[in-house]
Amino acid sequence: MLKIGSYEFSSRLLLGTGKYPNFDVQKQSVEVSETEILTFAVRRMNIFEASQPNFLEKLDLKKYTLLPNTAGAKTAKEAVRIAQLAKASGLCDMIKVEVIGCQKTLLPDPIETLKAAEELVKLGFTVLPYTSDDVLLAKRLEEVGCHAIMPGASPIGSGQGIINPLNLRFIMEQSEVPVIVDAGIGTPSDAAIAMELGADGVLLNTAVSGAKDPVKMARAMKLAIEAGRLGYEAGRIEKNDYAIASSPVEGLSIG
Amino acid sequence: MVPFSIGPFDTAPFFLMEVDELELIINGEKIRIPAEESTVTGLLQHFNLHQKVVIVELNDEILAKESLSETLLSNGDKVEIVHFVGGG
Repeated sequence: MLKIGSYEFSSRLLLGTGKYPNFDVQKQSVEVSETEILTFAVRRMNIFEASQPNFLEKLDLKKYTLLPNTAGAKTAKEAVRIAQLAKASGLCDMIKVEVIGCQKTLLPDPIETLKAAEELVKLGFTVLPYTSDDVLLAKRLEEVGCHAIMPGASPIGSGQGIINPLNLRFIMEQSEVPVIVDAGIGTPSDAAIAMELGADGVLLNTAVSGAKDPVKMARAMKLAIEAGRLGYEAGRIEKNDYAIASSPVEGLSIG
Repeated sequence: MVPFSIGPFDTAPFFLMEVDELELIINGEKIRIPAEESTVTGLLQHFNLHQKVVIVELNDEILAKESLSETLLSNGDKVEIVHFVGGG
């Protein structure tokens, strides 16, 4: 079970809802992934196109917990406002704090992220900040009361996978709250490695929505995350420089 | 602000009779709506948004869902109408 604040989930995959080729593929991908948490962004509505369908309307909202993000915010103040707008929908009290400090790398602004997270915890939100893999910042975020920590594996949408497994492991080892690896995942093996390192969950979007076959990739990610988690729980063998025979060395009938 | 009143006893000259409209700034754009749609719920109905999941901010104040039908709009009000879109 993945426990975040007062919520409990059996799936450890958190799925983004951006950039799918169409609603049909998206709906199938969401179903096949067996995710229970879907992220969304908050944006101005085009009021003259009210007939435009919205993915949210296609979902059975009893089955999913919504995790709106504060994407678009560059300051803590903007992030808090977006979070409050999202909460006013009456659909959710979880928030992914995302305060981008650099448009080229889309890396989070650590100071504004921490400020926003602290404020949102005080306001009663269930707070999941997207952060870099900085170990001490992760600690500070936990200390201000965040309900999960979401370090990036590599830049958002880059598909580079896990570029600093050591830092991620340090964060996972020190953290008393769930650690969800968010951003940069490209392949199922990336997701599996995150889980083997000890992540409590993986949040991904482009790896599925941008795949040639998003529905198939959604299934692959689900299986990879389950496999990685089982592997972590099972406990891996020690690494050795030299071979250790699997077959017994006694009782050989030759030579 | 618009320099005339829109009350029922308005004595505006003929050429200003279209004052039965409210001018609002919705999502950054100047938009006129019929004055009878003077609540936020009325505004949402006017644009056929009342069945949608929308969040409304009026003059930088986020409105609770329950208050939408009682909240009155006035000329020059700044309205933000936002919703959830796909994102990661």
